[in-house]
Formats: sequence, C-alpha cells, structure tokens
Amino acid sequence: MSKVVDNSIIGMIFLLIVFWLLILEEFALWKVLIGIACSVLIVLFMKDFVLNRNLRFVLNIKNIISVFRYILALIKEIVIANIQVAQIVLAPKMKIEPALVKFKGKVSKETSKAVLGNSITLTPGTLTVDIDGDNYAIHGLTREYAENPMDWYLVDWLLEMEEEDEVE
Amino acid sequence: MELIMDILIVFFLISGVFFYFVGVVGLIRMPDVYSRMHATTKCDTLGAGLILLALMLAQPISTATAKIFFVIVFIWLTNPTAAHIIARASYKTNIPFASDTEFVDHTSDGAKEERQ
Repeated sequence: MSKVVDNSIIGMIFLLIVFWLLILEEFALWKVLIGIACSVLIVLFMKDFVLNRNLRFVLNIKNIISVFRYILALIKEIVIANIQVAQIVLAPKMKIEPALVKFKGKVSKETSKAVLGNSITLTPGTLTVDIDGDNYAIHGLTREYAENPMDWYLVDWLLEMEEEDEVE
Repeated sequence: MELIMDILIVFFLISGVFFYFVGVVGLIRMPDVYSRMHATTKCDTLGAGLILLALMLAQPISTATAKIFFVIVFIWLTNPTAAHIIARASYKTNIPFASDTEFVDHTSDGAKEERQ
C-alpha cells in the first residue's frame, strides 16, 4: 500500500519536472533547480488531494487505454455538441424547451464525479448545474438532451475503470 | 503540399471564428442564464480549440507547438469547471429560470418540484 503511494509521488514529481523543462525557454541551471524544488513542494503539498487512492483511479495499462478511449469519444461528442448548439442558435426561430432534470448518479469516486460532471457540460445540449452527493441536477436545452446522461455509454466506461480497483 | 496545409489552416481559423460568432449570438438570443451558458461554453471550447490548432499547424514543429497543445488541454479542462461554477452559483442564489422550463426529478419516488 505505502509502496504504491511512494511510486505515484515520484511519478507526479517526474511529470511536473518534464512539463517545466518543456515550457522552459533556456536551460539555465538556476531555472532548472527552481523547477525541481517547486515540483517537489507542489507534490508534497497536494499529495493528500491528488494522490489519494480513494479518490483517483488505479494506474494500470488497461485504465490508461480506457482513458485514451474516453478522451477520443469525448472529443467526438464535443464536436457534435458544438454543431448542434450552432444549429439551435442560428435557426431563425429557436426551438428550445429548457428542462432541469435531477437524477441519481451511478459512479462512486469523487474523481469520476468530477470527470462525469465536466463531460456532461461539454456534451450535446447539457449543463451540470449542481452535484450534491450522488444527485445530479442537469440543465438541458430540451428534455431529451437533459435525460440522456442517465444511461450514457461514457458512464459505463467510467464504472469499468472504477471496477479495476476491486480486481487488484 | 504547402497549399493543402494553407487551406487547412484557413479552414480551421474560419471555423474557430464561426463558433465564437455562434457563442456571441447565443449569448444574446437565449432566454436565461442557464441556456446562455450552453451557448458560450460549447462554442468557446471548439472556437478556441480550432484557432489554436490552426496556430499549431501554421509553424514548424517546435516547443511552441507543445505549449499551444497544453493551452488547449487546459482550456478544455477549465472551461466546463467555470461553466459549472457559474451555473451552480446562479442556482444556489435562486436566479429565476426561463418561464417555459420543465422540472423533472428522478431522485426520489414522487416527482417533487422543489422550486418554480
């Protein structure tokens, strides 16, 4: 248990340092040193929030592939969402019947809730208004849009990623 | 090859500007805060994304390309969060919904309408 946490701390520090080196214009020694010091401090300060095993997904190959699959599907949804909103907005007579739908979500981890809330906001005609415990309040441009996220294929993918936890 | 690249870049730029245009028109035409958030957030993501993508393609690959890529990633991460916070703040402070808004509640057994 403690070994996994140590690995993820080192990995996070490494990622931050790589990111810092990427945005660095010139490699002066003091700049690199400041970057390393800041990375270590940030990770030590944030480790209870970001690297908590109860909040985040387990890091294994299957989950990493799932994340990429999720991102690709999400980008597809975003493009569809933008075109649909453009159609609605530019139509001479706007056909909107706004609806506020409340439902109980299936995902349990805080991370999945945040990911799901953001995904709902990014996808066709829906906007996450409130998440309170397991209850989601979704505002949609029409009622069908707002009821879509209740049984959505992305939710099932998130659940799959959570299940990896119990297998290990 | 150069020509195809140029056409692609101009196409991305124009689509990006188009989505910003849609966002602004939606902001003016929509009836209430929540519907307005739909127009602005959706069109900001793809608008900014496409314009930055055009910038990525417009120059030879360098560290700047990676930086612009990270700008896109962070815009896409923060945009829905900001939209959610604005919507949530309006909801908590009882900003009224548009008059024809439907309220549906699937959380408990009777369809309770919490607010009008």
